[in-house]
Amino acid sequence: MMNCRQVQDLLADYSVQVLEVRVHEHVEAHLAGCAPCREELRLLDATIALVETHGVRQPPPGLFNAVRNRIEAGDVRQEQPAWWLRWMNTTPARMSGMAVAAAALALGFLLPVGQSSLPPLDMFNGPAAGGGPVASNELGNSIRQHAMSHTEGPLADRVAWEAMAQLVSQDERRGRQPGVE
Amino acid sequence: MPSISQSAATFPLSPGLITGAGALRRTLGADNPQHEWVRRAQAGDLQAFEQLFEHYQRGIYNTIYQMVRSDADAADLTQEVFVRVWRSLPKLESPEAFSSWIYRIATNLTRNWIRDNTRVRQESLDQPMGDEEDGPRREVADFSGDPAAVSMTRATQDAVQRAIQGLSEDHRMVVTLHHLEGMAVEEIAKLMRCSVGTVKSRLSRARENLKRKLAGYVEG
Repeated sequence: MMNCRQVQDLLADYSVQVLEVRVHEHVEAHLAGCAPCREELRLLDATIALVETHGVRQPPPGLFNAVRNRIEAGDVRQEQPAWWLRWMNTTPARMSGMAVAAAALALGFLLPVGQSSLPPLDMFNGPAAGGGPVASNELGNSIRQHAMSHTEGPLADRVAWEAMAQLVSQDERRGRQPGVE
Repeated sequence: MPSISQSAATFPLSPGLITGAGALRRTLGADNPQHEWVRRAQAGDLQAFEQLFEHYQRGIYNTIYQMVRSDADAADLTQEVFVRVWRSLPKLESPEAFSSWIYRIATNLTRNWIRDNTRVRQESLDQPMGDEEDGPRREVADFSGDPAAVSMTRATQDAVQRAIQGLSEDHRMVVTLHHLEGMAVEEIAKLMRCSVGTVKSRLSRARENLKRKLAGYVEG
């Protein structure tokens, strides 16, 4: 059981309900049977009432006049948000914007599937078929790297592996160690 | 015997709602007319902006006053806050955020102003305006035309002001916003970027402090 000193130390916390439920109930039970502690709580109430009654300061009258004068004189202009922000702040625009973004995202993922934007590999195999394979492969790799650096699509790695596999298989068909002159 | 839970100083069970004089001053809800004022003011309606001014000026003024402790400076800064609000209002996306937004402008502007004004900073540090009996007593101007306010005892008013000003900045802020302006603790937490528990804890410490300082002014 709490004594009066303990309860009175907790009265401010009790008044803003930050005590644990169990402690809150102990304080409440004590207050129900203790007149001096109830008096302390009443003094706390009275203090708050005093502050609320006497603490408010009234601003001087006519404060708005100076504000209005500055606005009407054109000294203060409302800053308009950018047009696209205003557009985005309307609900239909938000919805349509989200729909367009979702569609663009879906297209970005779906379109490259099964397609390679790279030209056929043979195009890079030299002036004549089977001629100058090493120099042609280097040229082909360079062009592919260049192309991939521009696409940066989700399948860029796949394109790279495809190109690499084709080059390796060509070298193997020619009986050469891949990448060795 | 009155129920303990009906105590004016205690929070009701519903979080965020408050008791006391400040609670009735502001109502925040979905059909809040302030939201319509904000929308109209965003479109350049000066009359709607004036309604916003009338609604918020006292809260902004008191918040600033508790930071700068000067009526003249608080008045100037209040005007500057509303000028900035008018300027940036079209950029505010949600009218529901207006309340937190304007108080944040006010506190940021005032903090910057205090930082740039050595005189005020030194005064606030050197003269904490606490509850020292022989401490400096600042003149408390009364601009109110309300007869009830005029009839208040000057001593009590001064004592309350000094007690509030003797609190730390964070405690002063929560007392001003919650007890003087009736702002819900959740809203204060959003504004001060801290948890609801932190706001309540600050309120608790501030209440203890105020009770101690104002003991002589409360009927025993």
